[in-house]
Amino acid sequence: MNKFEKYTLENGIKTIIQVIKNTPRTSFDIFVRANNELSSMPGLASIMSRLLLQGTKTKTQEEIAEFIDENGIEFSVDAKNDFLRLHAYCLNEDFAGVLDFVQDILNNSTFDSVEKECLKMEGEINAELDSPRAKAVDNLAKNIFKNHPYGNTYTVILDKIKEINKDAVITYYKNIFTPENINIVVVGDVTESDILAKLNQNFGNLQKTESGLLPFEVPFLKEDKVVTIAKEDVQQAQVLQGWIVCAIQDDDYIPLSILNTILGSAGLSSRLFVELRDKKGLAYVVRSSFDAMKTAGLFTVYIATEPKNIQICLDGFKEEIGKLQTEPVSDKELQDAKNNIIGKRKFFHETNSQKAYYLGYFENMELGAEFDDLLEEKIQAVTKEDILRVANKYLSGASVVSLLAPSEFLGQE
Amino acid sequence: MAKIIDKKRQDYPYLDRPVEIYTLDNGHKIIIANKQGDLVNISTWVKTGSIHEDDKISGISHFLEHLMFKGTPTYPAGDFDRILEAKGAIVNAATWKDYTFYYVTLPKGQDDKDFGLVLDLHADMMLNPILPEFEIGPTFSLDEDAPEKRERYVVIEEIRMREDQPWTKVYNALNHSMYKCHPYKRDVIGTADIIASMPRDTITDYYKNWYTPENMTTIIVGEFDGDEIIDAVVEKFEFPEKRICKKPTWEQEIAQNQTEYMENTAKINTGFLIFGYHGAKASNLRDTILLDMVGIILGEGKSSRLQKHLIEQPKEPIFNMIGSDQYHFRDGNTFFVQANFQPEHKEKAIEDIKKEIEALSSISEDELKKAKKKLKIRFADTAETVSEIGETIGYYLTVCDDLGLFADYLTIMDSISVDDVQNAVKNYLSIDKATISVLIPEKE
Repeated sequence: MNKFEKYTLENGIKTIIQVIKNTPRTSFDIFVRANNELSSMPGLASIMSRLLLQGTKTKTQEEIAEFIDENGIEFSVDAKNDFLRLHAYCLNEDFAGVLDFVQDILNNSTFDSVEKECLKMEGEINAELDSPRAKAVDNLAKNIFKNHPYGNTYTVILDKIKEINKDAVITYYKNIFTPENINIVVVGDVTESDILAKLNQNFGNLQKTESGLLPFEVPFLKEDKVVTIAKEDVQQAQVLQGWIVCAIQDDDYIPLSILNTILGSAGLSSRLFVELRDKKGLAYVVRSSFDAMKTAGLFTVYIATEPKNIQICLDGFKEEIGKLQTEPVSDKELQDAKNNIIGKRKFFHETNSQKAYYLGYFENMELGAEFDDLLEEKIQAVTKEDILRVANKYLSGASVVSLLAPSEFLGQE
Repeated sequence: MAKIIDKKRQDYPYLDRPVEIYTLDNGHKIIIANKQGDLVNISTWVKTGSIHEDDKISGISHFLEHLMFKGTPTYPAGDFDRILEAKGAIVNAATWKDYTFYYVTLPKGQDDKDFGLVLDLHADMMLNPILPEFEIGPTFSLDEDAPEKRERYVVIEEIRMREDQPWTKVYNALNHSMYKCHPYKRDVIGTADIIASMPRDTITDYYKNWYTPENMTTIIVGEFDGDEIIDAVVEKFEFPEKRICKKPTWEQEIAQNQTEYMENTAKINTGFLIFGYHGAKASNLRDTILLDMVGIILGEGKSSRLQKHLIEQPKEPIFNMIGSDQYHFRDGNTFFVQANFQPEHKEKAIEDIKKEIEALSSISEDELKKAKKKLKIRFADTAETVSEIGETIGYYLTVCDDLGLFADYLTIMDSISVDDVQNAVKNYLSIDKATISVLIPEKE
């Protein structure tokens, strides 16, 4: 796509700068490796992230919120399974101010209002869980990744949120915000030398600590499971089936991504869409998804359908996956799927904010920011034998089926 | 071939060249916007939505939108999606109260060859849909099983999906109450029994009446050299027969003069509510901007009043989420506050919001400044991607009938004072004009 340069700050922070001339806004991102043993306290990473916006030694929460809104900055700190992402997207004229602001919240946050933040998060989760889909997705992830940090879903967090305290937050913060864990990404109409000087000044003093990262154990699913939630007033059943699959660093990441496109994520032309929606009229939404994380991946097929069709849909999933496991895809379908991924990447790299995301993401996931540009070549190298192989390797084993429907359709009358 | 009878140029902020607006002798409008980069967006906007529907055909605009993807004499059902998605295209369509639009975004390919392909496919889909009986599926009664499930059934599943969402439930109840006579009162998506029983002829008649050149605007956004592009678009959009739209009339809503309150229940654990108010017509840009500003000051971002007073400041907030915004509609916008709250505190939640809206009679200079900056950035946002540019142009031409408004936007916005905002609050947001829709958990 566009050229970028890699630098190392004085304390070792790996930094990526991509200059895109004549663009009005600059994206500033900090990615932090976050798979720390302490995140076995569910919700801790989220609470820590939220507290970065709740007050520093010299600024109140209100002043922080005013700064962000007055300058119209898109600002977020999100905790994901393997990393935290701090993201700021602002007009070029406000960029220097944003760097000072981020420096302050990273160095001087007080982490005082843990209890209040937990209360707020609890409320937001409760609101979210009134959506049937959110409930069924939650139930899938927590069961497939049982006793693993990837399984720390909304409902698990609600159960354990009382355990979160200020000491744990500060310890966690100190453990992960270290130079070797951090990648900084800047994308916009900037001058590299100016930015580097400023980054060194603001973030070059962050000290190394002795903590290292303990990698997660690789999750493993022993046997098939069906998990259900009864909800009496829904018109549609939520039907999900998931498998634990390969991690993002695995060589199978790319073939499995192509399989996902063929099966259920190309848009309107993937197999599940054509077979279950166009031909059988079973649903408005039907799709597959592949979420590749650092220690493992989650492959899911999803449909929302009239409750009496649950079994027909599960059989439909089985049939479509079965075809991928027994019949090689045609050369044309394979090439179409490759082109779909390659073409769509342009769409997802249109803004500076999107560009920064992918550079930081791949770098932080240990694949290197260059991976984003190598993808095309790697995609082209995948063969139909690869598709057949990954279909058998990953989608034959144990799976979890998550259903949400009125109880009479769950065999629970 | 249709002839160009008018060509206008219109400055579009943040683009290097003015946007070109062509009007053809059949009434079809074609817009070319130049945006550098590999991606191109093509869309056609049709002036058809729930605004043109009645009780018998509620949901037909949206049903037709689904069926437009079901093939032409040249490209059978499925080809459009498959051919374009194999080029990495994002293909979709949307129907709302005032419009239906169809769009494709894709890399334009070497020597624009994929653009040529998408233009061909898109124009063909807009002009020559077969709306095949087989793909639509037979009519049926909801009491019995559908004899065969095709696209008719997909739409019914979409209706069910939406009705399972608490936010849809609370919004639909609000909408039904805010409009007593205007066609906006109906859900855009219609109802399952109307869709189940709608014959194909009704749909083809609707297509013929509404998909006429003067009701359609086609917008191309991307990087192109020279003038060949407009010729290519005109050539591809050759309407097969003369179509003239039968203009319907519809009742306008009478002004609301007392607070309306409605309460529904569902099997949920939290409470949902929306306060709705009638705003100006979307083409009244000044008043539209004024209430957009109120939406920012009241409920957008962590520094907004609702966030600050009802979530950040209380020790134990009773709200889980809260915000405010405005939907823009041809015959009158909807300004709303929406919140999720702890249901045991329902009365207090409603009172708290009422107080915050009353307190808008006094706005500070700082709040106005913040609202202006945020709107400026939102405005810059609409020039960042080819799809945003296409949508913005489509919206102004279809809902406001005037792309010029977009060029005036920043000037109008800059001229607004604190007094103007306070007056807008007085005009539009008094409590006797509020409609309040609440959804709370069913009692066990």
